[in-house]
Amino acid sequence: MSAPPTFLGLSVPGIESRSSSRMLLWLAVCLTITMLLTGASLIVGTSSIETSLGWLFAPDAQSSIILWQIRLPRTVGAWFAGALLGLAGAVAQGVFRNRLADPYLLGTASGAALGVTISLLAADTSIAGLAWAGKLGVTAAACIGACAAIALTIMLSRGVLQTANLLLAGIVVAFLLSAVTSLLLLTKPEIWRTMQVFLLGSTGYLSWTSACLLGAVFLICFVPAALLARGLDALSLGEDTAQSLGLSLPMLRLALLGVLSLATATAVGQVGIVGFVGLVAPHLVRETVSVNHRQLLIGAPLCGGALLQAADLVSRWIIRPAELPVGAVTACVGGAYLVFLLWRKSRDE
Amino acid sequence: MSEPGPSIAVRLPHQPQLQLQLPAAPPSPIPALACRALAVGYGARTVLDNVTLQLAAGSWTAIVGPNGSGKSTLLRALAGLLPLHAGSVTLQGRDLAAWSRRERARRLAWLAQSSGATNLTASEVVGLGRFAHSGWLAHRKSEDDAAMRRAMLATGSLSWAARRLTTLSGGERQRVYLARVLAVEAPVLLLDEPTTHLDPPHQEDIARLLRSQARHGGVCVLSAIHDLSLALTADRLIVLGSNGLIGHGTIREALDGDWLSLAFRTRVNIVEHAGVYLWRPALETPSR
Amino acid sequence: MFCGSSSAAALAIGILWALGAAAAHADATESLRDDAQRDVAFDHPPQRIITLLPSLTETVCAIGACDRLVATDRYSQWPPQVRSLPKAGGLDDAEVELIVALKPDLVLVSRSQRITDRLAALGIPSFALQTDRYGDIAHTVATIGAILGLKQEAGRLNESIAAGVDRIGAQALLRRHGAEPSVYFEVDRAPYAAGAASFIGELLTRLGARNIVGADLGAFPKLNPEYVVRYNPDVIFISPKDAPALAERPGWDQIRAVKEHRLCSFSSEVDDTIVRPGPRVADGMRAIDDCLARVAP
Repeated sequence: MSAPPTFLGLSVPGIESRSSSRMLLWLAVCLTITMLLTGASLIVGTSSIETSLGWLFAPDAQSSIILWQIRLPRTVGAWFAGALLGLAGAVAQGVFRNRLADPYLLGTASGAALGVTISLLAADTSIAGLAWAGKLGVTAAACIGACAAIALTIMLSRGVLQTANLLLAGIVVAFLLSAVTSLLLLTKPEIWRTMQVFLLGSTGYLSWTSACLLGAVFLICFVPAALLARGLDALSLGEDTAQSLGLSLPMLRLALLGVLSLATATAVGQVGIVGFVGLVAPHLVRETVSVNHRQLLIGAPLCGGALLQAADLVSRWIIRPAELPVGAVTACVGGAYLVFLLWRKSRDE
Repeated sequence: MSEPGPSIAVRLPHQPQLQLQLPAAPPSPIPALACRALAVGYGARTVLDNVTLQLAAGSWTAIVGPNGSGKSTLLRALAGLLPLHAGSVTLQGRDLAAWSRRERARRLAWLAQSSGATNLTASEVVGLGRFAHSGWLAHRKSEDDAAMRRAMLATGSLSWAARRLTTLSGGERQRVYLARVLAVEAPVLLLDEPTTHLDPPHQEDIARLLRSQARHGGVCVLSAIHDLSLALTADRLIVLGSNGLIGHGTIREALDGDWLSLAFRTRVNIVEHAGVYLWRPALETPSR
Repeated sequence: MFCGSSSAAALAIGILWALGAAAAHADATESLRDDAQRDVAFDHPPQRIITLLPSLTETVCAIGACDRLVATDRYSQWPPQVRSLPKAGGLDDAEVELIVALKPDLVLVSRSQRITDRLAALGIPSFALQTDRYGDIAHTVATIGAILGLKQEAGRLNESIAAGVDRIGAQALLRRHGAEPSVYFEVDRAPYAAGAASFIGELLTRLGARNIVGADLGAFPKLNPEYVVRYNPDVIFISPKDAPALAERPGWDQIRAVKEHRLCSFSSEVDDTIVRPGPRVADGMRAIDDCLARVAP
């Protein structure tokens, strides 16, 4: 053969290893940032930095509690919650083939808010039927509300076959449940403050139990999602093409929506409604590494975890010892990032 | 499954001569793809009714017809992507629904008219063609790599294997999609407008490729092609009109029966030149 | 000559009468500036009054003008006789139609309610009063007294309120022998705390308790939960709903107040006297002090 060696020597497996080495670098960067943020989270709090550093090296009983029972589980829990949201966002963007999809597309946010409202109302009233709702607590109520909203959406769109129907049904359900929530809130405006805290997100009370729960759910969601990643790749070529390659579209969508629901409902139950992490994390991964879905489903959770950790840190530090809601911080950062994207797009055009 | 068939030399412009291994022709008289009394449509509307066809292995059939006559619909129905209103489709003798999803995907490869926007690299897209073989975990064996390589060489897309699809031009992208279809190495190929976006030299290459796949590889190729002259380089024609199937047979039969004029409801002039059939646009006289 | 002197006398009487009437009129037309910086003029003391805030309802009744009330907001529950009055809506959603139908002479609102413009457009006089801090109580009582023409009663009420507050405060300080228990007052589970700068904080300071949330943090800051663990209050004031779950918050089971179960919770009736500045402030202080006496170390 008289062909130049570079042309024929370009073997297909070799190409893969170059992009995967870039991915490895990105993973390393993410993990380093996570470690740094965890360290910073241990130091930042209501005490000054010097005091906290002193605590790290010679902790007394109370500071040991603050470090290991409050700050560390809070940052670990925030990382897992962010990872869940990042994973859910990547899955949503893959299933709906839309870069603007976020985990709350199917009405999960409104469902969770309604669940919390009912639970708070039931705690006050003496209506016998609702007493159990009051005992559930905010976490379980939010989780159940989110799942119920998704079930309602799937029922409304008559199955998972049509993506457009799912999206439309999700919007309808979100509006409907929001309206019901508002009506219920009117009957008892005193719970509005608690609702507001939930709606803006809060990482304040993440304990080791919460962190472990979030971690376990993350593993349960991550493994199937990573296995199904190739199906998302095929889906991105078109539904007909994916079907012709041997994919069962309903099964794939059902499995992915299951992962999406579980991840979002758990995250929302623990930290409230935190926006933009699910939207921005996959975007950031695509911008820097530009990958296939397997790499996206690995990179997006790592990015999301670091994002929420950073937001938690900022919310604790800016007006210490008072605290900003973590959802407000992510909204500011996420909003700024989207504005930047728009500006760059218009500049390119 | 079958021993390697004859190897042929394919000359592609700007590329040296390469040896290709193509799968051998299955030696059975059962039609590779057939349908009986097929009725298919969208929702309540029926686009095609009572269509019976048999497509043998080792032949290239082109579907021609005016817009809206159901070319894509027929292809999708034969690929099993549309639910049928009536009738049945058989693949290699068995009903389409009787094959398992994976087996069917290994035997029938489909190229859509337009693919979704994707940010994958060319090699990843071609790798998806091996999905039915390598499965979810994408654990690629050497035969998968070899099939991908062959497919990319055949379409001349190997040089941009590492590039993202969004950075390629329309024609380059189309060749990557074709490579994906070829990588499946299925005995039946269904292609919806495979020559879109391609400039004439590459259209030639694709036509040559399809012909060699059919004649030497024993693949049953069915394609919907807009360009009449290119469609007439196939072995057989399926002509669809606004009222349904007009005819199915060799090029000679189609010309003798003047099916094309019936389908397009206007005089379609086909001339023969040096063994090739060409469409001659009639610009001179307005009368019919 | 007889006609001339009688007509002069008539003229003099007429002038005197006119001047007297003018003087009397001038006395009755008072113009008071309300807390929204509007000047409101009163020809005569209003007889039909609607109050849209519970503490204003209580003040009007405490001065002795309860019979002049024709409607209150739906949260006014004290004194018991106002429960039978028509309810004209909540704090933010007053029922304007009902108010108009009752033809009041005056509507008393709080400064933060936005209904005053609407009422003015409908020709109904309204008066806005600020009721956020301890100092506002005396000012509100005196102003309402001036409006209703019951200045003396208002003065007496203010004296009795001040006396009650001082007495309870002195007793508390005496009992505690100078010890200052550190307290944390939680208003919401977020956690939102009542700082030293809030009304509740002022009460606690008068009782000799040290609020772990200082005045520099604002009236109701949303705290980092770690703050409470760090400052380890001796007593925690919390709503009865949230009390059972306190120990579940990470790190809170080590707080002295939680470990030794030094918690104070109030029913919603008592809560009203603590959370909103009003004439019953002394009752609220007594409730807090009783609890402190019980649970403080």
